[in-house]
Amino acid sequence: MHQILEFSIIGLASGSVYVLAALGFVIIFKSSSVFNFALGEMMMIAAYLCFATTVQMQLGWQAGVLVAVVGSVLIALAVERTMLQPLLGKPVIVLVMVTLGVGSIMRGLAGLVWGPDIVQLPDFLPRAPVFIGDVLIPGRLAWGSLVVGLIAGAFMAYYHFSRAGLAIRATSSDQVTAESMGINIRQIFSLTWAITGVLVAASGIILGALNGITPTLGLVALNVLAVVMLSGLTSVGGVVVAGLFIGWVETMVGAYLGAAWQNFVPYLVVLLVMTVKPTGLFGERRIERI
Amino acid sequence: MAQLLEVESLSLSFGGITALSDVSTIVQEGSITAVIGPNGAGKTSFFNVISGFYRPTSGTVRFDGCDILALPANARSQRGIARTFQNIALFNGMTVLENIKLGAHAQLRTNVFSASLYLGWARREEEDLTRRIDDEVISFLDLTAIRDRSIEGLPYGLQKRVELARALAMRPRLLMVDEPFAGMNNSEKAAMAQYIRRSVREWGATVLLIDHDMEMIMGLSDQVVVLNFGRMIATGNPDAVRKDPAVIDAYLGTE
Repeated sequence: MHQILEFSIIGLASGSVYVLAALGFVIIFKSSSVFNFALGEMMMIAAYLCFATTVQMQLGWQAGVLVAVVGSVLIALAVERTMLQPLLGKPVIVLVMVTLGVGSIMRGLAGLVWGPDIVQLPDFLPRAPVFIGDVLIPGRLAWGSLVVGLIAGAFMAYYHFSRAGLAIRATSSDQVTAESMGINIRQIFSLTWAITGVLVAASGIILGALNGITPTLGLVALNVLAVVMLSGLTSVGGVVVAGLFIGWVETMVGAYLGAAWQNFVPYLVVLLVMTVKPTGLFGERRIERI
Repeated sequence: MAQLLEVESLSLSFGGITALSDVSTIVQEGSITAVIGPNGAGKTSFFNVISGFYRPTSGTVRFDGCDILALPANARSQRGIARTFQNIALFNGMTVLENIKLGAHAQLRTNVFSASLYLGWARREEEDLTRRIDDEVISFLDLTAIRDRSIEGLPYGLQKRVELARALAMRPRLLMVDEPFAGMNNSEKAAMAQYIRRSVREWGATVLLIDHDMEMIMGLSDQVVVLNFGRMIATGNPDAVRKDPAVIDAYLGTE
């Protein structure tokens, strides 16, 4: 029993990293229907930016985090402004393919600049294990998920209570009406990309700190995709539940059935849910009046 | 009275279908103009051209003396053109207050980026806004009791009123209402007509409205524009239009 509890907490903690990235995915998808396939690569680039500043330039981890966040936001805005905005009004699939291309370019560039081998961020998360009662949690994971929780909480507050959050929600709900309210929806698209830049930077750095960084770090986005599908693409609150759940399933399966199972059981769960409830657990069914 | 809106030989077609052809009209500031016509006559298309969702094939639209056709929809609402929609386009999942607040979005000086950082003055502006909406719009439209309720589940008549509130929060110079009386009972209709009249008198708005309810329209409007198959077949004061043979023909058919 004690062991199950321990694995469960570890699972939830590792799921929390998915939550951040998945929030970044959902906020773009909700406002502009663009499926952002470059999400994982954006995480990877942010992690490398942090590595370059902290380790290669020896500037300390605070500078590393700052450079990664600012850089990630600038890259997100550049992609959105130069590649996606000119294509607005084209079929969404075109925009989706652009994100796929941008992702491969990022992966290639990272390979050229930093090479294929794994690099490590310095330990800026405390290593000492944290005990809840007599349940042990590895220190980096505990602190990492605490940071994630704070960022996700801040994001939720922003999304639900600020005026910009209100404008984003309005754009997600109905673009035409939002525009007639005087909301500049192009500005909203840029804003959602900028927010995603912050979220992926945070999740990329934490993931890099936990597992090291390689150019293929972005593949974790496949798990994020599973999270997003499970929650139903459009639910901000649902992503939190689904992210924690996928992390938990993954860890439990890995612990009791072995690593081979770990790779596909989460997807199996997603598949099962999708066959029963195609809109995902928390997805909304949009009814178009014609 | 000044001319607030001047529409000149406006035409709009989608492929081979002509939605509007050669429509011209002038709306005087402070007046109520009704656009009527059978289904598919082009009334909502006419609204969509003015609010910026459709780009006309030819013609000009001047608002307060400036050509607005090159402006995107959000810039037009910033100049004071507000509208409501035929199929109630409120934002679901939000409260009544949040919906109305969005109407005032256009007027705030802080844009979404500076508001994101939630600097002091953005916050002050936000608080002033909430107070202003409470004092002016919510009490004016008698929505105090449902201010914090979610839009979903509100009765139809109330939803229509919230939509009007959202448009008024924009402090519009031109208020376009698409079928305000549709699906309402008589007392709701009378109340809505009263709100529209007071919007003109107390808010200084100029109203352009679409509806099918002849009784309400004849009692409310200063000018009536009649469309049929995209053409303007009559215009003038309600009495003149009522007697116009072309209008009677369009509505009843000739023998």
